[in-house]
Amino acid sequence: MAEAEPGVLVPGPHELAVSIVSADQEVWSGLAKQLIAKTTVGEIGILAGHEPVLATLAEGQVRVTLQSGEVIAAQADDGFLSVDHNRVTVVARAAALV
Amino acid sequence: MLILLPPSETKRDGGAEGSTLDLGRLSFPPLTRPRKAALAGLRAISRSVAASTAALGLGPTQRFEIDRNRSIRSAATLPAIERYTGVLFDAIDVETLLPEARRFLGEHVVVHSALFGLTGADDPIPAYRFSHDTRIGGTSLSKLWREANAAVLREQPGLVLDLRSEAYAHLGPAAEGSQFLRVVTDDGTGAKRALNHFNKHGKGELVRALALGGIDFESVDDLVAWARTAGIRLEPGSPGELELIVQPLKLE
Repeated sequence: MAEAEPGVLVPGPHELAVSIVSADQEVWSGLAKQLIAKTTVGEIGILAGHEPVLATLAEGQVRVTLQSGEVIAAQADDGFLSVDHNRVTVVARAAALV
Repeated sequence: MLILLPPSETKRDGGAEGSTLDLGRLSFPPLTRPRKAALAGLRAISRSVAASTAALGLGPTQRFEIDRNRSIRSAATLPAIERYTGVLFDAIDVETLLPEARRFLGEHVVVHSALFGLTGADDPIPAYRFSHDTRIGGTSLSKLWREANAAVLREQPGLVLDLRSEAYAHLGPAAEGSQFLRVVTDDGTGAKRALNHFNKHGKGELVRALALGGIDFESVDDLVAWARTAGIRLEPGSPGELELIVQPLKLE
């Protein structure tokens, strides 16, 4: 289980705490309803309560749907996606909001 | 024949002047993507000392390991077989091998790195600190590697001799037909015991003997028969396993 760190978002039971980081900075973090990413084994959709996942990212966008319905998209190259207890971490060599 | 080795936590510094990591020069191109992912993870934890220390389980005297990781893209490279140090690699003693035996290592030895996955003995890599149990964001990176490494191993023709620790074997299970090597000591009473130091030393000595012998074995039987003539006690164990029986040195 992810350890709680100061300043880290705490997800409610029906939401995800998402963090998208590149090699040199955090690109985006926030609470969300859904996240969709392309992995080497196919596209994956994450909702609250998803089982733990660790997957290598394929080329493409990571799309995060906020509770408001707003969608945030990030290009994330060369990285991985981890899901554990409603915490989603996208780590990429290069990542930028689009 | 492919000989799979575990990596060592300790590594030599330095390398060829002007060289830097080029993933295109590493063996097994299908591993490029998980290599990039693992490097991204390494860069992410390297941003803060606290994150590095926690993820890598470092003590206060090991700050240099964080510096190594931070400069991984600009640091000089060495062939993997020269980069790793420690009991197993010291016993191979690569510097004292003649070119022919050295070439054998390049053609047949693969080191299983937690950062680069399966790595050829001659693949040029920088120094780094990253282990099979390194965790990022509470998640062990092992799952990232398991299938990718296993797929590479499934495609290896011929005999695969697995000298890895069980922890690394778990990050990339060997294909059916591979031979997992257990090192045991025989104290003369017939009781066999496994001991860590002799395990690594015994494996290193076996690899050195194989390099000096220079034979590309096609079957377990050939390997076992050769070992007998070379004075090495290598015997079939459980199915899919070989036992290397070494003399316990007396520790006074």
